[in-house]
Amino acid sequence: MGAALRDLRPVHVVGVGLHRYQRGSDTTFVTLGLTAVRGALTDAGLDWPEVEAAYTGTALLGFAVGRTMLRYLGATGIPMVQVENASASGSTAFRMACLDVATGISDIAVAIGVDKPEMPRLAPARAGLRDLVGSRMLPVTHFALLADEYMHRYGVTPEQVALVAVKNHRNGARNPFAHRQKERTLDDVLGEDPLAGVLTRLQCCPIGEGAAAVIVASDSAVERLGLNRSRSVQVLSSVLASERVYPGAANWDAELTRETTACALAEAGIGTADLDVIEVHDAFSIEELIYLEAMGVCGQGEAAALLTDGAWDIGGRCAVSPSGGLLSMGHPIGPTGVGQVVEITRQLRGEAGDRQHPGARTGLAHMVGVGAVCAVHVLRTAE
Amino acid sequence: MTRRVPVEPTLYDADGSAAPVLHGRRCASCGHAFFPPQGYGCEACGALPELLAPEEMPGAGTLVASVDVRSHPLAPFTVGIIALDAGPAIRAVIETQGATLTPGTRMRATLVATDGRDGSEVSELRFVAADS
Ligand SMILES: [Zn+2]
Repeated sequence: MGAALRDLRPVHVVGVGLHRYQRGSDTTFVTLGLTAVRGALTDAGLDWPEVEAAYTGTALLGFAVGRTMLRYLGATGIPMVQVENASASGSTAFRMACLDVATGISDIAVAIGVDKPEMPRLAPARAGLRDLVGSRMLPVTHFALLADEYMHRYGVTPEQVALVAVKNHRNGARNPFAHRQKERTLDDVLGEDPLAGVLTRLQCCPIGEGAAAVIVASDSAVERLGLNRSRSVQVLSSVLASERVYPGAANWDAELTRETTACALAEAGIGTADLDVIEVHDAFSIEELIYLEAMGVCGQGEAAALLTDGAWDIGGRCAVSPSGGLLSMGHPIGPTGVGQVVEITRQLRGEAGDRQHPGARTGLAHMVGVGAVCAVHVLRTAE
Repeated sequence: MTRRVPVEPTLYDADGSAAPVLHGRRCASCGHAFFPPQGYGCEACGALPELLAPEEMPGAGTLVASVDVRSHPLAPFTVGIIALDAGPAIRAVIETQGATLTPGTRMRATLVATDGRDGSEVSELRFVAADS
């Protein structure tokens, strides 16, 4: 067994920045990324030459994204790595920046996520394999199938599933960086024909463009540069896992999230009851219910009833996707996982404005990438 | 009966017999059974391709979930997850024949005549409720 993050040097988030997530526009990825990085530098009170390594999570932009963008901050010669891990690209870039600092290779590293809505070339489609459904199995159909199985197993209604989208749009309406910034009623969400099964358009995440940046630093860097320790947030654990073979008709998305989250909580030394804020991979509404149960935040089949009771609201038992989540803040792919850490950092600092979950001290960020991979990070406010 | 060309000849037999079979595989090293077939290596234990033995899997199983798809160039159609009696859970096109299928319904494979891309007649394996 290798080491856990906490066995290494402490890692602190010291600066966060975003470019708004939005529909594809004429804005170049260079402008998107620079906006987020400059925001993070200003937030941290750091100058670019202090940053010793840059990891750029991007899935759709192609070759050589990092330096094409970052050179305009002043070409300092630091190592730059492009990270592609499907929807978990940004989360993986964040993990690599954390590991850089934890191992002592860098004192300060930045994780960036940036993307524009381009059609990806999907490797699974080029593995030379055939199946019985072919192009018919789009992601929305896969998750609609999981919704059908879940609703039947637990007696959950389509309305209860749709309430995930109502909650997350309510949160996103208060987030100036969100792609969708409009509250939606249950009638709004269910007022359109489903795309597949029970899933309507507003229960599917928008894929647009945007950028996010998070700067992480060691204790020695925080001391040496006089960074504001009261606004720093410690990364307690970082776990990245990939799918194994699960028996029979098991929901592999749920099983992967179950294993990854359990490991991340154990390495952080906390339990689910300690979690105040969770940013979950809610690309489709049903995923939030399935993943909350797989994480053990509530029992199997309980998430929908607890949602109706307000347990996952800001101010409830645990704020789930206070940013608006993928459903409302959006899922521009590369930025998404980094943006989750931005939101959790703001929540744990008490700087989330009218999205603030009262007394937030501990947060968890969860992303899934097709393939499948899963990344979970646990963060805690400065003591 | 006219022999139609299967849409996916590596996946199933389409000779017009009453009970089409699926071309699954089973790992001779660990027993892991899977469909669709692949010849790269065993996902469960890493055994080499030569240990992945062909196994004919009856087109019979139980419905885990199904959905109608309305937003797709081929829509409308219905797809489902079927837990085969032979072990693997597979994804397949469902012929609902107007019925609403609930999880737990017994299903069987059937060959459906469709038009191929070049206008030729082809057979596609789909699933229907077993009592239909
Ligand atoms: Zn095997």
